Amino acid sequence: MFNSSEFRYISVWLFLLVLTLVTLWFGTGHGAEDIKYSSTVALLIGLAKVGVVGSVFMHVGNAPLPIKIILYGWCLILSVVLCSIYLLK
Amino acid sequence: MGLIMNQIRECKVILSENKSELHLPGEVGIWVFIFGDMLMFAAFFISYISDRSDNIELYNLSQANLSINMGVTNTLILLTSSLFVALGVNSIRKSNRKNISSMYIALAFFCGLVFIVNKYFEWSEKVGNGLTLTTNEYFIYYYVLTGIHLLHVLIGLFILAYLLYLSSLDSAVKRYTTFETGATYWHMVDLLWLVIFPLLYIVR
Repeated sequence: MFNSSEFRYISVWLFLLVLTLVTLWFGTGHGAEDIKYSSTVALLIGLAKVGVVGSVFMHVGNAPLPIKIILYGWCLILSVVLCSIYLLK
Repeated sequence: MGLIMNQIRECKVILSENKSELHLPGEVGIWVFIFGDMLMFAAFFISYISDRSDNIELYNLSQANLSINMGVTNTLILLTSSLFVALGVNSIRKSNRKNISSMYIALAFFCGLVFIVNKYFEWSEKVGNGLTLTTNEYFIYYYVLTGIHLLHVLIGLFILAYLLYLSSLDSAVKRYTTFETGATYWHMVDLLWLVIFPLLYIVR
């Protein structure tokens, strides 16, 4: 019914849906007693999803190095900066 | 910016010479635009989380007026639209599946419309409860971030409408790079929301 690339897209989409529901679970106060940790996990899941969408749907995984640096670098730097400010400030 | 563009062009030339499997999705220009846009949003996100730390109570009280379920729904809608766009571009590569590509792009367009309708109801409810741009600092961020993102969605819908038109043409396969460029923009709209959602709706 689906070819291999279509099957891959659909599998990744299902994975992203599950991650979104996990985010909801953390966002509604589950998963950790300290809201700071559940919020941090939710934020990091969001940024990880950006990496997955970029890698699979945008085909950054097969793109030249500068493109990979732009997308993955954005995720990584933003993860570090946002979590640092959120947890430490 | 110029240096990055040159590097990308060089990579493209080297890759085409070597017939490597590496491939730049879409035009170089869309990546320059995406890079600028992502930098702008990164500045917004850092500014938000920093200002939030100075007034946590106000932000948490204001955030309690948002519906997480509405945010999750919008996330699922955009992820689904990204899937349809990816499937649509994948289908256009195969010239015998032009009609299927049109169907996928039309479904992605529909998802974009549903996102806008949801956003309309969400904003209407907030405004109806007296929560406007001038209510407090949190709602300035809320309306500005979701507003700029909504503008991106609107532009994305025009792009999807153009791709839908292109996919109906016999020459659609020859315009594959245009499809990739439009799809890349739409995926960017999706991934920006993936950060806006936890920041505005969940982080407490």
